[in-house]
Amino acid sequence: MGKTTGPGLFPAFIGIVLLGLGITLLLSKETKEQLTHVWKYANRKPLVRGFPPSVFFSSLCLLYVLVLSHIHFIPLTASVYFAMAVMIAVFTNISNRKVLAISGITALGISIGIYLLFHMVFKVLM
Amino acid sequence: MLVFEAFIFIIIGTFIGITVGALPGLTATSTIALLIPITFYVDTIPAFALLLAIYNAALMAGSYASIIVGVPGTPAATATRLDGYPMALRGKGSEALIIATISSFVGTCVSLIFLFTISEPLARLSLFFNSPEYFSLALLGLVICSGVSGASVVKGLIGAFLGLFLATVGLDPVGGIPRFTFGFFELFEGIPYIPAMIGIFGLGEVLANLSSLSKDNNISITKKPMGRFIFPKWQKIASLLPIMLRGGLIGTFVGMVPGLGGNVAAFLHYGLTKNTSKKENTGFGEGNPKGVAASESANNGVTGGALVPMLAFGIPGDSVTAVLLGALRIAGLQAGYKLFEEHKTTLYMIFSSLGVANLMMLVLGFIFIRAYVKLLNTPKHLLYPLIGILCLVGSISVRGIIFDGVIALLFGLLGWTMLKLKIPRVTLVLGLILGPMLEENFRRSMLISQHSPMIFLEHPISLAFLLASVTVIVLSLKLKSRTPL
Repeated sequence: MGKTTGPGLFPAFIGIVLLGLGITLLLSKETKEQLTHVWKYANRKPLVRGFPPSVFFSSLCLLYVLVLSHIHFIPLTASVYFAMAVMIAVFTNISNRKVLAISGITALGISIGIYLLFHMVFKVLM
Repeated sequence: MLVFEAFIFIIIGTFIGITVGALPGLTATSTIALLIPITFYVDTIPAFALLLAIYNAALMAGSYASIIVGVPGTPAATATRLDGYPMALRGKGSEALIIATISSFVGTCVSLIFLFTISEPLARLSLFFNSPEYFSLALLGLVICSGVSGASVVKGLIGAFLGLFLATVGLDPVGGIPRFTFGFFELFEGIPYIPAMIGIFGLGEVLANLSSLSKDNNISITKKPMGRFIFPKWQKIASLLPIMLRGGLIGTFVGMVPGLGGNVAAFLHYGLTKNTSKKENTGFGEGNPKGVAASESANNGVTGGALVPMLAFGIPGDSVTAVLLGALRIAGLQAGYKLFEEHKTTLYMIFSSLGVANLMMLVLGFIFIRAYVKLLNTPKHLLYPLIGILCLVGSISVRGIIFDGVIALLFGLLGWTMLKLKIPRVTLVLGLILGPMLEENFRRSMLISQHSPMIFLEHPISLAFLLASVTVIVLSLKLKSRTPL
C-alpha cells in the first residue's frame, strides 16, 4: 500500500490532531475559568439539578431501544412516553390528576399514530 | 400525476415545516432526517419537494415564537427577536408576523434566481477537478466551517476533526479493511448517517432543553396578545422591499459558505441594515419593522444558496443541506456536473418545487397564522417525549435495525455534550460528510504522485484552495471579536 496510503494513517493523524486540540482546550484560560465556576458550591446546585431529567430521559430511551423488539410496540411506546411525560411534569411542578390523565391519553394516541405511520418497519421487527 | 403528487407533498411539507419551525425544541434538520426514509417509497421529485418545503417553511416559522414569546423557534430566528418581540409587546405582533412571512418569501425568491442560474456553471467547474482538487476543496470547506462557526476557532476545529475521526469508522475505502467496527457488522458501511443526524440535532436538542428545565418552566408561554390582525399598508411593505431584496442576496451568498447558515446571514444583514439606516438607527432593537424584514429575508435567502455547493460539489452549505445530501445519495443521485448532465429535468423540477413551496409558505402562513401561534402553548411534558420517541423510531426505520436507535441515542448524548461545551455541531456533521471525500482523494493523490505530497501544490486549483484554507485560519484567529480558544 505504501507509507502514505495505509488504512491506519488517516485515523492516526486525525486522532493525534484531535488529542492536541483537546489538550489545548483543556489548558485554555476559558476552560480554567469555567471549571472554577462549575466547582463553586453556589453554582453546583443548578448544574446537578439539570442532570436528573436528562439522565432519566436518556435511560428511558436506551431501555426503549433495547426492548423494542421483545415487547409489542404500542404498550411499550405508550408506557415509555407516559413515564417521560410524568417525569417532566413532576420536575416542572405541574403534576396533578388532569395532567396525568391527559399524558396517558396522549401516550396511547401517539403510540397508535406512530405505529400506523411506521407499520412497514414493524412488520420486520415483530 | 407526478406534478400533482409533488404539489400535495409541498402542502404537507409546508404544514410540517411551519409546525416544526414554530415550536422551540424541534429543528428542521432532525425533521428532515426523520422523513428521509420516505425517499425509499416515493418518487424523487415529490420526495425532495416535501423536504425542501419543510426546510423553507421552518426557516420562516422560526420567527413565530421569536416574535410572539421572545424565544426563537429556530436558531436562524434569533435576530428576528431583536425587533419582532418588542413589536409584539406593543400589540403589533400580527404586523411583525406578516412582515416576517413576506420577507422570508422575498428572500427565498432571490436565492432561487441564483440557484437556477449559477448552480450549473459552478458544477461545470468540477470537470476540471481531480483528486488533489477534491481533497483541497473538502479541506477548505472544513476549515471555513470551523473558522467561522461559533466563537472559538479551536472548538470549531475540534468538532471538525471529531467528525473526520468518526468518518473513519467502517471499511477502509481503498483496502476494504475494517476500522473501529469492534466486530459490529452494522458499522461496516460506516456510522449510519441519518440516525447520527437525528441523534445529534433531535435528541441532543431535547436533552439540552431538559437539562435547563426549571420548576416554573412549563406554564403557558403565550401570554402576550398578538394584537388585532391588521395587514400592514402596501406602502409600508413596498418601503421594506429594498431591504428584503438585499437580505435575499446576502443570505444566498452566506448560504453558499459551508457552516454559516441562516443565523449568520440574519445577524449580518441586521447589522448592515442598522448601520446604513442612520435616521432610524435609534429604533432598532425597540420594534423597528426594518429589523424584522432584514433578518427574515436573509435567513430564508440561505435556502437556495446552501443548495448550490451541495449540488455542484457535494459540499453542503448548512446542516439541513448536509441531511439533504444523504437523501440525494439514497435517490441514486451523485452531486457534481454529472448530476446536471444526466438528471437536468429532475433537478430543475426540484428547483421549481422549491419555488412553489415558497408560494405555498406565503399562502398557508397568512391563512393559518393565528392557529400556528396557538401551537406555542404545547406543554413541554407532552412535546419532548414525542420528539424523543419519533427520533428513536425514525432512526430505526432507516435500515430497520435496532442498532441505529442506539447510534441515535449515542449521538444525542454527543450533541448534548457539544451544546454544553459550545462546540458547533455543524462542524462535526461536515467532518462526517467530508471525511470519506478527504481521505479517499488524499490517498488516491498519493498513489498517483507515488507518495509525493507536492501534487497538491503542483495543481493550481488545489494550491489556490490550500492557500485559501491557510488564509481563513489566519484571519479567523486574528479577528478581534474572537478569542483563539
